[in-house]
Amino acid sequence: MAKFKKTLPLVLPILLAFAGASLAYVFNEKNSIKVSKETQPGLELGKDYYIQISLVELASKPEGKSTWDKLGSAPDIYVEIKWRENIIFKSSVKSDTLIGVWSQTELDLQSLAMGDTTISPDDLIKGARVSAVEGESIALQVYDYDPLGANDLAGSVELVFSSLNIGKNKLNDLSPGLRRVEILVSEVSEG
Amino acid sequence: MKGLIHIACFASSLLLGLGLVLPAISITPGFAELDPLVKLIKPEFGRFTSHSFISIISTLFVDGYYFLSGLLFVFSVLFPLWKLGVVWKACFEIADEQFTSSRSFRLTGFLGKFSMLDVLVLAILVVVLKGLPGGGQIEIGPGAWAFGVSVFLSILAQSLLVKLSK
Repeated sequence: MAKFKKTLPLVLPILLAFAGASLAYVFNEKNSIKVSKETQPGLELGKDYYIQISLVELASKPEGKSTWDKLGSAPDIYVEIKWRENIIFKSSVKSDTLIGVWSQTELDLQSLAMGDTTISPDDLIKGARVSAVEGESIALQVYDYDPLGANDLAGSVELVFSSLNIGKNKLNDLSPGLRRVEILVSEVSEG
Repeated sequence: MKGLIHIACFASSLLLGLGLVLPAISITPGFAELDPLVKLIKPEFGRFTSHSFISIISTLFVDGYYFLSGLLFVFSVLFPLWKLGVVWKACFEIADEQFTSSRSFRLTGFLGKFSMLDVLVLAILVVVLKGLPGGGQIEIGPGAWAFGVSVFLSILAQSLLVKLSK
């Protein structure tokens, strides 16, 4: 009994601190689950977002044709984003490929060389700026660029804002010509 | 007064555990004009992070700052536990009317001042980072509050014990 009385004061703070730490651990765990669920939240209506195309994969041949190009080469892919019946973004052309990959920022050296000497971070972002409005959508139209004639529509898809999440959105088998599209949605920073 | 000392000791021990594991500091980096660019190119740079005292100590240790992590471990974990042990012992002795102000009891009173060292470091960090450009946000989390209150309660319990023994 005397030994127990001697050791109890030393063990008690450790036990109580351990109980507190366990409580904190449980609290942290609950919180971290909440955070991971929030990593891919949907779009908040009324806010502005950047919509960027990071990847487009086309089928091996277009619908109703045997090859993309008359000479047998792969398509020259570019993407247009339409919102409220207007083309608000046109990507650069990725030549001779079935998988077009775009970086999120591009610096237009030609326009800089032509005397456009000021550039803001916003200008570097290659994407469409949209406002998420309920019931509205954006249309992605993927083309095979043809320098000599009309560009061929390789596939298109319409996306309602409510179906998009912040971050990467992967879409598969959208139309016969369009196998895969990856869209990056990010918030426009205030101020 | 004995009841108050017991409550202070109990709460201080519990809050110490909470304070060590709950987030003590939360940082949301800001890059001012370059914010949208950083979020696009390196989203991990702009991610919100929070650290507890335990995670700070372990990160410092893993990164090779052995002296600093050792110092923090001694003054944030070992010393408060030892101090609470001494105060709890004194509580039991007072209940049995056998309390004598031992050397370790007096030593905890002297070293107790250093227990708030990490809270002070966090406070300085907050002030320094708030002054940096870029619009980053830094906040003191519940862990720092719990730890601070734990240290305060242990000091209170000790001073009440000294008063009671006189």
